Amino acid sequence: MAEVVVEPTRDYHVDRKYLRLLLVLLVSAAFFEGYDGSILALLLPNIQSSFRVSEAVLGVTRIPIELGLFVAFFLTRLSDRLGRRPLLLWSVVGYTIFTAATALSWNIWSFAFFQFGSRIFLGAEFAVGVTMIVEEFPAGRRGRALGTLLTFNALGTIIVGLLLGAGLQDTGLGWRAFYLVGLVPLLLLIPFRRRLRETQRFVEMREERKRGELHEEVPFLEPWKPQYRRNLVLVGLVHMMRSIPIFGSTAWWAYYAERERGFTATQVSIYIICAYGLGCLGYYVCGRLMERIGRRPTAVIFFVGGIIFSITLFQTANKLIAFFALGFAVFFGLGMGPVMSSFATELFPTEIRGQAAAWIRNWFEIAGYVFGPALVGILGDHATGAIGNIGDTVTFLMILQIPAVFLVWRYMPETKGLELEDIMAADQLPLTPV
Amino acid sequence: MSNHSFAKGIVACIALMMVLAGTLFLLNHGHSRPEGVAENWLTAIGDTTRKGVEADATKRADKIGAPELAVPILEPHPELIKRKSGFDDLEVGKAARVDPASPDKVRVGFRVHARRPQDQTAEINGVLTLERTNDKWMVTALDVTDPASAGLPALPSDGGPPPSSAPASLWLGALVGAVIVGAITTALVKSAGGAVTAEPAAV
Repeated sequence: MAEVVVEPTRDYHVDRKYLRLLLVLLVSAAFFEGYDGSILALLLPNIQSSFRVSEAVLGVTRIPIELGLFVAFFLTRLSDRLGRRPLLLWSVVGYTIFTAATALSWNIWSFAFFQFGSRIFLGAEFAVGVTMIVEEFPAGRRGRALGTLLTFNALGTIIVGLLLGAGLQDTGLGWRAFYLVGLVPLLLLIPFRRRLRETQRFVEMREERKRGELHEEVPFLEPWKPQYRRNLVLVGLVHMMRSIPIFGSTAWWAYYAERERGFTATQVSIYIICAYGLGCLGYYVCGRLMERIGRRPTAVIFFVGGIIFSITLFQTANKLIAFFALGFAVFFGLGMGPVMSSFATELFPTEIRGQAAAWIRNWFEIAGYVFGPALVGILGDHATGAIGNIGDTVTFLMILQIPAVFLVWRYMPETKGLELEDIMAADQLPLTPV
Repeated sequence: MSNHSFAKGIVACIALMMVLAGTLFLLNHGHSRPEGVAENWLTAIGDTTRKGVEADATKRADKIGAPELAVPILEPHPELIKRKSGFDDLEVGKAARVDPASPDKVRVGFRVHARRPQDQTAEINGVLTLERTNDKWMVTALDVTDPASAGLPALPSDGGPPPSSAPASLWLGALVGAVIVGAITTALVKSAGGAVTAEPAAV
């Protein structure tokens, strides 16, 4: 391994007061990503009833909606050209408009269109939020900030569960009331928008562009250039291998619990709320641990924990064991979000960071988002599936995830305690086989 | 990466997806489990009281068995259960042959928590009879009775076996699959060449 020579880095110190404000603004992006995704999952039957559509039509409308996250890639990559700040602000505006419009949908197709738009902006908002955290927070606090950001993602899901428990869907507005809550980010943005600054690293890069030291236009395939390709393929594959079983299991657990283990609907709700509570803690612990022991060991611990507890969850018939297994599966499985976000951003230079993160999130990870639930549904279908059992199908996919642990342990660069410039200095050394 | 290489990559991904879809189709082909059919029928029956989807649900149920069979378990006045789904949750057990010599007629135990007026639910245990004609299972009878006393396997929540489970060979297949996935992904990472990894920081 080549020796890493760390050049003295520029001072990117940003005052703590501003970082706190930045975090407050960004957590709303993370919160509404979790919130919005959960509304659709939990209120789909209500929406179906409202528009009087069949199961088949409902299934078809999910395709354009989820495609929004894929299209978000094209918006997110603009952050490397236009800047993080304008993209974040416009994403909040776009998301809010489309979410409010969703509440006014007049049929299932208008609903699908507005949700498609909302997903585009929400996907971009979240991705830019993670990039801003990575660029603005010092190395020693980056993990914690990412952990805090993602904790609010889980809180979004919990709040939907609590609002459902409180019966918001039974009010005069029905499910539409949930979407009107999506107006809150805009209310937050109005007073704070002038205090939100462009990241220092992007400002510096813009200066370099003005001086002609960097190209203004970032090509679509820039992250695939030889000097970045290995990290892109590595991080992308790890994201995809994680996302297939994770999204497959989260999408199907409630169905599995009810149909294969005899849980009542109330038990399912209680288990989910408690598990996501523990999941919030998982994000936080992951953020702290990656600063203390490093990204790579933290990822290995969380991967192994996620696999073990998920398999236990989908194999045990004991409800008490299932309760703890669900909690820890969420703690480790979803809780490893901060370390995955750091892999997707820290390993790429500022001029392509947004775009590289978009490739990883909107291509590799979204593949898992689409195929994970589909694979479980097709193979585990009780009537026609080859496996015919949701629990066994999820377990099968969890076992196929094991190679991701090997990839992280064997090939993933460690970036603990390194400022972004130090990481890039290491990466630009002559290539050495790992 | 050039645009040409990218296009080739996209074509390779599409080809891989088509192979995967074909494999899934082949793997699923020929499976028809009465437990799953019974569950689908009960799900559709539950939806027949749900606002906005009554017609679609009745059509779905009718393809598997006459909706009238569900009269003993379903709330007759949907407006009294706020036109929600007729069942809060449902569960089916493992099928058992009615006549050990005939594989085309089985019984499947079930339990539903049926919605009742004033936000109440009633636990109902029952047995569905299914018959297979032309490789298609149809629900032909419904009896409100305890599955265990009818000689059927206990329901999963009572400690009974799941309606279906993976064969032991699947677990061996999963381990072999993990090794193959590991080999492919490692080869992909190695072939990508590129950036050197940083040493762990001495912090």
